[in-house]
Order: sequence, then structure tokens, then C-alpha cells
Amino acid sequence: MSPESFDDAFHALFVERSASLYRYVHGVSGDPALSEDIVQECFVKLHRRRAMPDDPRAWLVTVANNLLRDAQRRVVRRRRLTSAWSTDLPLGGAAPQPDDPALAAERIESVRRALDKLSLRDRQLLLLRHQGYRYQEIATALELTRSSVGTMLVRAGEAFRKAYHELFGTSR
Amino acid sequence: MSSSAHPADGDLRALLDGELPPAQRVEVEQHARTCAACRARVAALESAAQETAALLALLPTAAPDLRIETIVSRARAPRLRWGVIAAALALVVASVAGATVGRPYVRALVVRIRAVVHPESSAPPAPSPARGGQVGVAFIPGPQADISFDAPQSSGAVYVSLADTAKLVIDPSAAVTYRVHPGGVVVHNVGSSASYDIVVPRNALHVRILVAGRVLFEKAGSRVTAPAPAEPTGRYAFDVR
Ligand SMILES: [Zn+2]
Repeated sequence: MSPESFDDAFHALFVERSASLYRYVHGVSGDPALSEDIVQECFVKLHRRRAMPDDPRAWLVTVANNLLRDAQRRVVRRRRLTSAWSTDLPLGGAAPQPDDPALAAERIESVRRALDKLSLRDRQLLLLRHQGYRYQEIATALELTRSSVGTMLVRAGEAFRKAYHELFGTSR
Repeated sequence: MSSSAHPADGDLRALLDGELPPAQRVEVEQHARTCAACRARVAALESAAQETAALLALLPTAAPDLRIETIVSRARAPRLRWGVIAAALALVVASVAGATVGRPYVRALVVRIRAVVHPESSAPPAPSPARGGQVGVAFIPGPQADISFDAPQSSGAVYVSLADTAKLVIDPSAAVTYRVHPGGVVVHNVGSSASYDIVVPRNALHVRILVAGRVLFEKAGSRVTAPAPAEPTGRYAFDVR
């Protein structure tokens, strides 16, 4: 790949994927600043590579997942070092909606907490699909077989809705 | 009646998502045409997927204004491993126990974090032998605490954050060995390429960071001397040189 065509492809990929990758990482982590840093780092790593991977969208997700995992490890380790942390982290920059701000905020908080109750894998599956990633991209990024993605999405969705309704209640 | 077994939920879901390979799609569609149970199942899976999507759509969708220029210039800059990730975490750690600065979510976080501090015990830790392969260390600094790195490193950085905590924390990106003594801690870092997040209590009287005997960072009272000014987050970053 010539330098010009790499730069063009990089630019196009950044325009197309950076916001979506951010929303994915934010969905998984609930942490806006960390998500911004991770997305930046993903594109920095890609730029230093000076060559497009076979599947750039899945490559970005794989790198983001690794950075998320490293960040999580460091948080856990530091918590242990200072033994000073609550396990109940209220992360997530929820935006209230105009009609009923309190209820909307509570609903968003329930979505966030329901996601946090899922396994990392389930959260990744749901949020990748929600960001419009194709089954093949999800399979590549999460090291699954493509044919298992549908089944796993059904199960992850069930677990998520169950957790959500336990938190928010179905009567409202 | 249908001519073949009912397709699995995962295949019906893949059909809904337009992700079933063509041959399989024809097969499943043919089956569903004559099987009311599968048609009902498809409808149920569809409404479940729609509910999931509607709930996830409540999450904030605003993405920060990421600038490609920033990324390109960072990609061309000398590498600082861990720098970016450490920045976000340092910000969170720096806010432990009620700092009022920081982004709203950090403030929210701080409310829920209860720092376990031991203000009654300001004595430096008892001398300990070097321990192998330890990941991090935390201790309450005495009136003067030196963090002494044995040697410069060819790569790796130090990130220092001041925080309203009692304990001084050294958190390396890879295991190194330490020797904690009454005057501080010696970091046996020969051959290491780790980076180090160091959280210094804001009320520590005198803290120095030395590499091979040379003072790189010093906090005396509220006065800080460092190789470079603090970043916007209040963090100091410099190489282990
Ligand atoms: Zn059937």
C-alpha cells in the first residue's frame, strides 16, 4: 500500500468509524474519558502500523477490547493496592430526556446497570450489534464462529432484558 | 406440516438480521412458510430484538469531537506506552476521597468511593526485604519519602498525580521488585521497560522521585518541581531517564 493510499484509507476509516467505535467502547465501559482515550489509542496504533489490516473495522474493535481489558486490570489492581474502592461504580454520562427527566434518567441508569450485570462477552456482542457491526466482524473481533453469533445474540439479549426489567420494573 | 426440523433460534435471529448464508436462508424461509410455530418464534425474536435496540438507544450517543490531527501527531510522536490509558485512570485516582475538580462523572464516582485512609498511622512502613515480581506497592509516606529508581530505562514513563489520599501508590505496567524502607522505597527497575503511575498524597510533606540518584520530581509542601509542567488533568508525565 502506498503512503498516500494508506493515509486516504485511514482518513476514511476514521470518519466512518471513530464515533461508532467510541459509542461501543462507552457502552462497554460506561466511562466517557476512558472511552475517548481508548478510541484515540486504537487509531494511533493503526496509524503507526502504516498498513490497513484485512478487516479494519474488526481490527479496531479487537484493539479496543484489549485496551479495555488492560484498563480494567489496572483499575482492579489499584483498587486492591489502596483497598479503598467501592465495587459499585456509577459510571456513565447519562443524558436526561426532556419529557420526564427523572424517569428518563432512572431508565438510562437501569440500562447501564443491566449492561454491567452481563458478562463482558454478552455486553460486547449486544453493543457491537447495536453499532451495526456485521456477524462476521463480531465473530472476528470476539473470536467466535460466525454461525454462533445469532444464538449468542439471542441469549445475550434475553439476559440483558431480564436484568433491565428486574432493575426498572415492568409496570412503568 | 413442515418437511424439516424447526430451525434454531440463532438461525431465525440471523434470518431477521439478514445474516443467514443464502442456501440456509432459502431452507429456513421454506420451513417457516409452512410452520406457524416458527413464524410466531420469528415474530417474538423480532420484538425482543427491537426492545433491546430501543433500550440501548437510550444510552448517550454523543461522541466527543475526536480530531484526526491529534491522532496523527500522537502517532508520529515518540512512544509513551500506557500514557493515554493511564491518563484516564490517573484522573479517577486523583479524585479519590472528595476532590472537587474533574468531569461530572468523576465527581459522581467520588461520591461513591470511600477511601480507606489511616491518618492515625503516619509512621513510615517497617523495613522489608526486596520482594520478587511484585506488581504495585502502597504505603503511607513519612515526613520525607524518596522513590528511588535504580537505573534509567530506555522506554517507560512516570505519571505522577496528586490526590487527597493517605497512601502513596506506585503502580507499574509490569512487575518490578521494591525495597520499602523508613525513608521511602527503592524500585529495582534495571532492564525494565515498565511505566509507573504514582499517586502522591497531596498532604505529603516532602516527596522526591529519583532515577539513578538524580532528582527528577520533587514535592516540598505544596511546591512541585518536575521536568515538565502538569498536564491539564493535573498529572505530571516524564521519562525514566
Ligand atoms: Zn418450525
